[in-house]
Amino acid sequence: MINRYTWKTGVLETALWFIAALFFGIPLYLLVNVALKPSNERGSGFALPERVAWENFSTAWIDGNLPQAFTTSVLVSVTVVVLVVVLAAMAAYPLSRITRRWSTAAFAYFIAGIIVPAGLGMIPLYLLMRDAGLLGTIWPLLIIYVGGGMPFNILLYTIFLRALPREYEEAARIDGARPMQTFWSVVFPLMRPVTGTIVVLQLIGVYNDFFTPLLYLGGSDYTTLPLALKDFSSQYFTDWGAIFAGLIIAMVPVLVFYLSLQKHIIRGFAGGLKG
Amino acid sequence: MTQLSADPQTVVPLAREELPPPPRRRRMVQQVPWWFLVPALVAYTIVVVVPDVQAMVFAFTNWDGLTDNFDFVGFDNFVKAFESPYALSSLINTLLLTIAVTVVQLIVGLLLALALNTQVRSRNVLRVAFFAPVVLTSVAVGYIWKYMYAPTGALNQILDLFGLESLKHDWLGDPTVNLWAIAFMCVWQSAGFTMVIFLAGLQGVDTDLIEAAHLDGAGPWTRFRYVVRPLLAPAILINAVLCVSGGLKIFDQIYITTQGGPAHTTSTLATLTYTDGFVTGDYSFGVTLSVVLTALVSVVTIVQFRLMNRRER
Repeated sequence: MINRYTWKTGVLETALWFIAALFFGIPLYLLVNVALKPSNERGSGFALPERVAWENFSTAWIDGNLPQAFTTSVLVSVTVVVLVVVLAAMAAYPLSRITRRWSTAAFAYFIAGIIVPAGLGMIPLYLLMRDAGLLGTIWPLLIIYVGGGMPFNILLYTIFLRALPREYEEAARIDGARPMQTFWSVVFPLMRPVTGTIVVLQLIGVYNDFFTPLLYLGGSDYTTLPLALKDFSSQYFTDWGAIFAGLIIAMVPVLVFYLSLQKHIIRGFAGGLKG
Repeated sequence: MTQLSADPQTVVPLAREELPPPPRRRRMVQQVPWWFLVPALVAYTIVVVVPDVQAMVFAFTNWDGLTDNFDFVGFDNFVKAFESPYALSSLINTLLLTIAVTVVQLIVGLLLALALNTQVRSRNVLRVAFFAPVVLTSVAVGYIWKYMYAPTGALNQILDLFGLESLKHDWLGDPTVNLWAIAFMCVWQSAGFTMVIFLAGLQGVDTDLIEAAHLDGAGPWTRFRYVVRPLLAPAILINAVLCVSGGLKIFDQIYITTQGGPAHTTSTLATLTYTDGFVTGDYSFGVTLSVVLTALVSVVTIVQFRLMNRRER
């Protein structure tokens, strides 16, 4: 009785669409509209362009250094995701299966990293990278994302593995599988749901991160998409057409990824938190 | 590594009873290789533990970030940092921004979740739309709202259109509104996330309970207050913790829109650490501020968990 579609539900539905149009439709319309406007056309961002200015996209693409930013962003995100999945999954295996005191202590040691906010060690870490001569390269990004990603992702894997029955591993062992083999061909495939969550969260997180590239790549030859977008404001101080065209170029891949996998992605974000 | 992944063909399968005590593996435990832990441990220690410990030590020394020599100076750095005219106002801004973002985002996220947990037909499409800004980089969000908030920007044009000229502001320049404008932008980006956590929580609420309350004559507010809210307590706690810890650390959106200006009216501990500590090379100031921020996040989070535990009992 409470779950029927009544006129009240209809009102609610209309109201929700109104909210969506107001808060998301208008910014989206402006984003596309301004990106298609020639930079010499003054006036309101709401007015349709008199001439469609596709050149905004080529300006953003070429002058904004986006090809390089794209390559770097994709390379870094994919490498980090692979490394985080491999290292966190491997670490979670002994943490969940060995019950000795050192194992519990190691788990607590990792979990402490979730509680301490990430910004605390920022400056000592920067100085470490500076002294190692890694500023202006992508190495600090890879190292920081992988090391920083350990606590949370190990937690996710460990919680999952603790609930996973050991019969599969024992069967594999009895059949003569070596520990490495047991892990990679039996345990790792069984962890697929968590791996999916971690891939989604890491991929989107690293691709979108702004602060780490700002610290380590700022002023260097390398750039990532968020950093390249930031540099737009100094290059084209008021050329909103090129800025918005650049935003669209950077947003399209992540939006396509999101829309095609939306159920999994939303579940990934929600599920990643239950841990 | 090569040793362990030896050719499986060479391994003779044995039944459980026949297993002889393996020469070097004394216990079943050894079947799980302990060294799997090592790569993660090394990466985590270098990137997180060592710098965090260094930061906590350096905050109490006169270390300048360049040499290896330093002496312990107690709380001098903290006193000095807060003698800077901007540190205190940045601390206040951080707190105001966090409170605003947390309160508004919890309310908006909850209302959206409740609205989408009904029989609304397009609930899936709407959920996808409301969540979309979460997957965008905050740099893009910052730019979009910088454009909306500009003195002659879209927001003021809309206000003009409805004859609300008196409400027009220089949204990012006027110190009376700019912090709230940034708070709104942050809520706009993350409310979908809060909504999704609440929706997951609402899925755990048994509809029979709500129906029973409905039959007993409970109105929507009573049903929410006495049936849904207690069952939603874990989701509320998770969201509150995430909003607060996220809110205290907001950096990107401020950096793109105002860089903490004008005249530090929108600067927070996070932006001040970067602009006045990091960029100017005053590492000791930066480290001190990041320790203050960490202490703040930890204390607030612990208090939140305590409060929640007490209420649940």
